[in-house]
Amino acid sequence: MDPQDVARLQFAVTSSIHYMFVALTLGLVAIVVIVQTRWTITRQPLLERMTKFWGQLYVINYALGIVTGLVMEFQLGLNWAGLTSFSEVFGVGLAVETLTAFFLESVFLGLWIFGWGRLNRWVHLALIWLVAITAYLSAFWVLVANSFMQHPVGHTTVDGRMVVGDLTELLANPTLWTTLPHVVTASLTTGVFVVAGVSAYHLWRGTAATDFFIRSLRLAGWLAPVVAPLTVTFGLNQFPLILEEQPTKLVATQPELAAEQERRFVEQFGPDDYLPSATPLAVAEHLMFFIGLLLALLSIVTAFALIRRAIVRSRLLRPLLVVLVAAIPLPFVANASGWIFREYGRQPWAIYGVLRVDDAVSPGVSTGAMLTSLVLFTVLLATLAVINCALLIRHARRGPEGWLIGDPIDAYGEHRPLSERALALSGKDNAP
Amino acid sequence: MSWPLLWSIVLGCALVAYLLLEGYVVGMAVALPAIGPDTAGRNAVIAAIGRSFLGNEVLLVVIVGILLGAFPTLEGAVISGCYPVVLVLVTAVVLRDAALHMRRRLPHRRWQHGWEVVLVGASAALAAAWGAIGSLIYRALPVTGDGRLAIGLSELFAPFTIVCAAAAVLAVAVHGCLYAARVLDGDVAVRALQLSRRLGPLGVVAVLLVVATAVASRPVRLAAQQPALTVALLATVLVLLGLLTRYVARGAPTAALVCSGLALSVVLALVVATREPYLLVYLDAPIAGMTLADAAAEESTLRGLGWLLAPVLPVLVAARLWQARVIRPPVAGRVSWF
Repeated sequence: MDPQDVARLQFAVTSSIHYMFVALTLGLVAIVVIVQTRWTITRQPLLERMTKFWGQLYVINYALGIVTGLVMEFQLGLNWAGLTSFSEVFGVGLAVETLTAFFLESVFLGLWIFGWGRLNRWVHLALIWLVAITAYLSAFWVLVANSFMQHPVGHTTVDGRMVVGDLTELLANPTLWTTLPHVVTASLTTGVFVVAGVSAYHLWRGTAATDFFIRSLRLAGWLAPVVAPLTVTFGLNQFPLILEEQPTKLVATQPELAAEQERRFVEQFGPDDYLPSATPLAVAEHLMFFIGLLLALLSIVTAFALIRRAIVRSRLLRPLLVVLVAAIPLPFVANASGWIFREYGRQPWAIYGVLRVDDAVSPGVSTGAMLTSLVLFTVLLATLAVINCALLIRHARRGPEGWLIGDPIDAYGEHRPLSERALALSGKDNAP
Repeated sequence: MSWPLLWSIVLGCALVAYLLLEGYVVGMAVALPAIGPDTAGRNAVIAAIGRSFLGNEVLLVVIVGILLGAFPTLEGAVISGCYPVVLVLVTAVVLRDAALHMRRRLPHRRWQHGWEVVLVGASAALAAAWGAIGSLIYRALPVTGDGRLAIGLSELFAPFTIVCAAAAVLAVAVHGCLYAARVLDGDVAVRALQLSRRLGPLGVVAVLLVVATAVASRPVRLAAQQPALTVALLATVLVLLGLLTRYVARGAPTAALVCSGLALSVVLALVVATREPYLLVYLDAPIAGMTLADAAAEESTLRGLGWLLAPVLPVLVAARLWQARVIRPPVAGRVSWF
């Protein structure tokens, strides 16, 4: 195995794990923003419980987003030093992301977690809005860097290195602006279907908090028919640009155009294999597309089934709740497929038509060192991801009855959650 | 002022802030077994860590971000050059964060205790990795023919590297104890102050050991381009340690915390300033080292980055200061999330 194969595998594994949590972070924060805004205006206790319940899942999920993101950032220096030293433009997007968006997101999230009950409620509401805005800004700047790799614009060359030329051109990259709406709506779809699935689970089981979850399901069921079809539309909307800029990505569906582009690459860069293999691309593309259609369809059916609470009252429609629970993994599969299509389709280029992946790898790092980090990070992140998913499922299943983030604590012990006291008093295991 | 110099000042500020702020978070975790022997004590210490770490650890991401954007050559050289140590560093941060985020999510004793063990071990490994990376960056490093760093086992396990790694763990432990003594109260604060009293004199021993291994090592001697400045800064560190010990003996953790913070900053200044004009010094190579101009990105890149970030930097500082005000007192009457 060559070092670049190990480095590519490691990037694929870690970024796939990373993005699962990122997509849910972006989706859930929007739900928390909506619910907390309504709570702050109306002051309904049920909306406060909803804010805390979905906010708590958001925070648990955020933990893995940040640690996997850290691995991603260091990985660029560890394994891809060739990319960063050749193209300064790529690093600029990430630098701006960390400084403006990610730093503020973490600071505001800390304030939101610890601000419960001690900050003015409007200030506290402003904080979750700021968390959401900076989270989406983060996504924007990462996409600036990624879109540069797909379609390099806004740079000049100095001493054989790509440096920032026209900043406005870099930010006006058409690839960026066609991708951004798709990524945003896909993340919202992920969040909405998780909220719908968890709510449907509780409604199907008939747990106590029916009112709580029917309202949550209504919110998700109202948003889903907007965001799910839009995701498909924005996805399809990218194809004319891909045909124009990266025809080799469509080797599975447009082989003639891809071959024509390959001929141009051969003329320019000498004979080599310039096409990614068609099968994984076809699988990823079709998986993403059919899940997208399925979710769009499901969202519309669910919206109708929610009229007059028919989904819980009609025996005919109740199985739809099970379908919604079963649909929870689908947006995650579609997200992963989407990124495989986008990133694998870029091969063999790190920066399309400019820098080959082989030349982007850190020079001089041995295969052994790369294998060590591949095994280490894969085992570490996969284990943590499984534990975190188990925690998310456990908290989601428990519902809003236990202690939630920002709850007041009892008079008995300073740092004892309510559930622990309940455990001590009742002697049975109803703890989180 | 030139763009590379401006960006190196921003990077320096981020490094100092990271070392001081994350230093006490990591230090409190390293000292956890000693200052929180019972569950209530550990919960109090970890709640204090939890209030701070979200806003502090991001500085590491910010530092790497600045390196990626403004000093891509240095970033690639150091991170891929110090490959094994960076693996330890990243793994430690990941495990430390996981421990903090997951510990409180289940009420079971064994679950929580398991994550506490992970928290202490990962924090110690993180501090050791800082020390090791600092020592490697400081010394003269072997390079290959095409100018890449060639750090092997003999550099990783050099006495100087090992002593620096151990000294870093000790330094953050003292810093963390002093912070714990300042923000917490009751038995925990008393124990934290007692521990810092015992560790203070060890700090002087650590400095002497670092100096001894440095003098004995040719690559380290080669790197110190300005001996007078080196001696002056080392003397400052020792004076600060003396002051720290006196304040601790008087039971004044805040003044002692200022001393430990200053001492850490002086150590950082020593690593950077005494090797002017080089950021990295090469061992027996045709080129003497990597200067700021070699490390920095092109003028146009630095300017673009500057325009994008200039309006945001004051917001960053203001937001972080606001957070410091809000999180400082313990959250009475609310569930502690961490």
